[in-house]
This record gives sequence, structure tokens and C-alpha cells, in this order.
Amino acid sequence: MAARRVSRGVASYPDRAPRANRNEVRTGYPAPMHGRAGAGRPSRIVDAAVPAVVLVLFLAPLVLVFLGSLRPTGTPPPTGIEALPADARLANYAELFATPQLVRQIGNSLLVAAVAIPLGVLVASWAGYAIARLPRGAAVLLISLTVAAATIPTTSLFVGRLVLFRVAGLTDTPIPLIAPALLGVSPLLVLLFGWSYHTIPRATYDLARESGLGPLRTWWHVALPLRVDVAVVAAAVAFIVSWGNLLDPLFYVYDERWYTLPLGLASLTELPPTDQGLMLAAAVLAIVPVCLIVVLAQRTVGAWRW
Amino acid sequence: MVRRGPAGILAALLVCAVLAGCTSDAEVGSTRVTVMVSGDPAEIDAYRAVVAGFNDSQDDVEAALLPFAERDELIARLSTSIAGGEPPDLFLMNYRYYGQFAARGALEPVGPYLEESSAFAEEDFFGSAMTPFRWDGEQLCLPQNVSSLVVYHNADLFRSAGLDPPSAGWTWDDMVASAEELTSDRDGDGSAEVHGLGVDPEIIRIAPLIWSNGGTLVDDEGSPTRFAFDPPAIEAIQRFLTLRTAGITPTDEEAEAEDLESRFLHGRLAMLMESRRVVPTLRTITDFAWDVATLPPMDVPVSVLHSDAYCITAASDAKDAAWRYLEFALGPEGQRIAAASGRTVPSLRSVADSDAFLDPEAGPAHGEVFLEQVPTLRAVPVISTWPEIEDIANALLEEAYYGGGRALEVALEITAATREAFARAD
Repeated sequence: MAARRVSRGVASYPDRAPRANRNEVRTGYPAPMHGRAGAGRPSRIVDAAVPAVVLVLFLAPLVLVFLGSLRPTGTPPPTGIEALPADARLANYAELFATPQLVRQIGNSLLVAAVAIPLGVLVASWAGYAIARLPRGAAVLLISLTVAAATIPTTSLFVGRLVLFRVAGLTDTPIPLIAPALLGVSPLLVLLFGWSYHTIPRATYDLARESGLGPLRTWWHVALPLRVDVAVVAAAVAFIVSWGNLLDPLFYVYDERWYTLPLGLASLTELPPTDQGLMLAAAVLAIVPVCLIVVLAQRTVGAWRW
Repeated sequence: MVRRGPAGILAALLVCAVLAGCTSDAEVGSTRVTVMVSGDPAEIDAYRAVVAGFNDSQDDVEAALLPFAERDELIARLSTSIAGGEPPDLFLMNYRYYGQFAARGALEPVGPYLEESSAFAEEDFFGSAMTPFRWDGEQLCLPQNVSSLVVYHNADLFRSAGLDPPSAGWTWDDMVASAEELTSDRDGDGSAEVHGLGVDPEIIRIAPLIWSNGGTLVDDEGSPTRFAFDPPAIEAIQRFLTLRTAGITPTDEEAEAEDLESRFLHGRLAMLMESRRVVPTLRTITDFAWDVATLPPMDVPVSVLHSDAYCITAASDAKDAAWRYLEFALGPEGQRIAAASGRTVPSLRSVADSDAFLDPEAGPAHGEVFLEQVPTLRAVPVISTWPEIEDIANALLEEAYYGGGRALEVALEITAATREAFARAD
């Protein structure tokens, strides 16, 4: 019965946590400070102006890419910055979606992301949980190995990985594109999870153990629910890594049918200057999902936290 | 409601991964040939059409294209796949870059296949394109095209300036004189609105000028150990550098702001020194008439070869099938398909002399210029480190060209800076 009660989440038992207040038991983070004593008007103006400037700086290139994507094909590129191309139209997008290769590449990227993101988050979360829960000596060793793994240049692994995929007979499949997820996408995600699980009060883990939960069920019923925000951020990072992954398809895919969007986008950069609008339209298609994911992740985390 | 635990999630993901890894339409019993190429989308479409034509003509061999956008991507992938024991069966590469693979013994000689072929014979190809693909006396690869450096010109700008367009027999001095006439700074702000000529400061552009002027590029064309710029070579380099100091070509800033191809498309460049590569783009021009002329000689007519060839990898386990693809792609049907893109000058004489390549309606009007230059073509050295040597030389040439450098100094710098790369060459 104890296990069933705990399975509803530690948030059901805030009063039993001996060394943490209610908020810390629920989230593991210090309670947020709403408002600041003595905050005046100049401070509010600065608070608004700084994000506005940053927003403009980051949005300006995206706006220019979008405006450029409206330029009809067959026309010479502008010689300077152009607000809106003459005869602007959305025909480039229609032309891209009428290109079977590009549609297939977008589908492949979505498929790879759909498998790689949950798998990557799962593995990184497990690895991070192990780091957080192992004895100090073993945890330090694992952290050291993870940091060392993060410093290995990706290019030095290409040949070795290719040999592995060849021996396993996977070079004609998209599995090499999903394989990085089996390593938790990135050592940094493993460390992120490790750090975040480590910040959960020890009392919470003790409570779960006293309730009869093993490590796997403690991770699933206690640690992960308390760190959903970290999982969301990790998923967003995993999506960005997967969506923009040019090198893995470049080196490991032996069947054009499994080419992903980054390779398609790379091929469009070779278009003549007169077809610049087409390339920029493809760039917009590649950028929009990333922006959406970041916004969604930010809203999800924000809603959960505050 | 079913609640999934971690084991359930993992199982679902593994099922997804396995399903994603399944290939649906692999043909059982047919030999698969992978063909690695690089190029812009129009070029890739042409290769795709060649592959489709081949597959339609075969029952037991299926070709699969592995296209890449840039040559560097293809080289990186090819190097990795050869080292990893999983190379493609065929790849297409310029003669300036295949030496690194030939030196490693990664290529299967095609000479024996060619001798027994019923599709074509060695003499059906232009000899100047075949020679650079010989390595240690063996024909390693078979050329797909035989392009060269030419001069494209805006015929309307020539006409409005009262100048005769370039014609057979024109010289370097004629070109420079025309470029000076055509360069115009209408508003007098010190920056020309129209430049007479556009050319990239690269060794592949300067080499034919050196040869034309009677100079030498390297000490031994068969197995070079260093650049060997003699006085005629220095003079040719100086005449090239003078193009910029005379103000008839764009400055560094202007070239960075807008590339030469775009300037020509806009009608702000009267002449463009390039290979056949730009023709598909130039065919989109509707505002003015354009055409092509031979590379004007400083003394003797010479141009430089631009040629790509299909090579079979030594580790391929489908060499016979790869050769069958090669026979189709380089035979009349395959070369006609490739020529339709406008990008290639066919290496097969019969196709090069046909309307598939020469059609004046498609442009350029005088496409035969490429064929007239074939007897004058020379190739830069074919050694394993040539790409590296080109990179070093081009960086120094660019600095001298835009920085007002002197030919003798840059020649000495290039010679010294590339000596080590020459020493490592096979």
C-alpha cells in the first residue's frame, strides 16, 4: 500500500519531509521571489529595454531570412539589405513542398526526432540519476568520465562509429542517426540531469526508499516528476541537436531515401544566386520548428515552475 | 487507462527504432551500386536522371545516388567511408582532387574494363581529359566532362560602348583594352558601377596565363617537387595582378559584397572569366544577350582543363555492376542527359559534337568555343597534396591581388609556403 501511495507523487506528502519546506519538496528549488523591494521605474525600464534589444538583435536575421524567402526565383539577388522584395510571393514555399526529396527529408528529420528525443532524454535521465544516487566516489568517477567524453572531438569518432554501424549492418538504415540518443544525446545533458537530481533533498529519496520503492521506480515516481522542467529543457536541446544534425547523415547514411533536412538545406546553398529565395524559404522551414520548440519549452517550464 | 512504466517506454522506443530502420522497397536479388557525386541541385537532378535512365535499362543492377552539396563534403565522406571499410562503388571527382585516393590505392583501375568494353573505346573520349586520370601508367578513372576556362561577355554592354564583341584570335591585351573601355564610374564617386572584367585570383586561373606566356608552373610536370616560376611566369602573374590595380576588376570589398556571378547577372560586369560551371545560371538571363569566347592568350593559345571523372573504389564488392553503370553514364545516352543541364562539356566526342551540347538556342550561342579550346588544354599537376597546395597558393594570390602586391614577391612566397606540401606528395 505504501508503494501505491507514493506512486501518486511526493507532492502528496509534503508534511513528511523533515528538512525541506513545501516548495522545496515539490520542486527542489528555492521559492521564487515575486517582486523586488524598492524596485523603481528606471529599473523597470531597464528590465524591459534589455530583453527588447536582445529580441530585436535575434529576430532581425530571422525577419530578413523570411523577407528574402519571398523573392521570386529567377531574379538576381539584391545588392544590399532589402525590406521587401519586389513582387514578393509565397511561391517558393509551394515549390519546396512540391519537391519530393525535400518533403521526404523533412519527414525523415521528424521521424528521427520523434524516436531520438524521448530515447535520448530517457537515457540521459537514467545516467544522470545514477550519478546523483551513487556513492560520492563512484559519482565523481562517472562525472569525470562524462566530462572527458564531452571533450572528445566528434570528428575523431567518425571512422570508429562507421565501422560499428557497418559490422552491425546498419548503414542502409536511419539507425545511425538515432544512435546518439543511446548515449543520452550529449554528455552535457547527462550532467544536467545529474546535477538536477542531486538538488532534490535527500529526505525525499529516503522517504521513497522507506516506502519500498526500488531505484527504477524512485526515478519514475519521484525524481522525474520533480524534474519535469529539466526533462523539457533536455528534450528541447535534444530536438535542436537532432533537427540540425548535419554530420551524422553526411557520414553514415548510404541511402538517399534516409537523407534528412540539414543535408537537403546544404544542397540548396549551392543554388545559383537567382534562386536565393528558394534556399531562404527552406531555411525558414528549418528554423520555424526550432523556434516553436524553444517557445513551447519555455512556456512549459515557466508554467510548471511559477 | 493503462499507465506505462519506464520499461514500457523503453520497449516502445525500441519498436519505433526498429520500425524506422526497416527499408521497405529494397529489391531482393539485384546488385546495388552506390554512386557518390557533388554539385548544385540542377546538377544533382541531371545525375538523378542518369541514374533513373540506368535503372530503367537494367533488370539485375540498381544504382543509388549519394549526392552531396559541396566537394569538401564528398571528400570528407569518401575518406571516412574508405577508412571505415564501407566505400561507395563509384564516385565522381575532379582530376585535381582524386590524387589523394589514388595514392592510397583506394581506386580500381578502369583500363582493363575499357579494353573489353563494347560500349565505347578509349579513342571515343577526348585525350586531354583522359590523360590526367592516368596514375602510374594506369587509367584509374574515366572522364565525364572536358570543360575549360573561358570568358563570358555581356554582348549588350559591348554594343552600347561601340566595341566589337570578343572573337576568334583576340588576345589578352584586347581583353584588357575592352575591359578598360567598359569600366565606368558614371557618378564619379570613385567606385565603378560597371567593371570590365571579373576573375578570381586563383592558381587554376593564373596557370593557363603562365603557360600562354611561355612560362613554367612547376619544376617537373610529371612528378613536381616545387613551383618553378620563371621570368615569363612572373611576367604573366604581374599582368594578372595589374587587372586589379588598373581598376577594371572589382575591389576586395566589392567582390565580398557581391560575387562575380551575381554582378554579371545584374549587368554590372562586362566579362567573366569562368569555366562551364556557370552556364545553367547564365541561362536564366533575360535582360541582355550574352555569349562566350576563348581564353585570350598572352602569347600562345592555352587554357586549363576542368574535368571530373567516375572512379570505381578498390574495396567495392560490385565492380562489374559499377562498370555497367559507368558504361551507361559515360555512353551517349548518359552524356546527353548530363549535357542537358548545361553544366558539362561532354567528354565523349560524339555527344560533344551534337546538338545535345551545341544547341545555340539553349545558350551560349557559341558553345563550340569549348571544343575549339580542347587541343590547347593543359592540366595542373595530379599529386596527392595538390588540393592543399592550391589552398596555400590561392590565399597568397588573393592577398597580393587585392593588396597591390608584386608578382616576384608573391611567387617567392608561394614557392616557399608550398614546398613542404610538395615534399609530402605521392
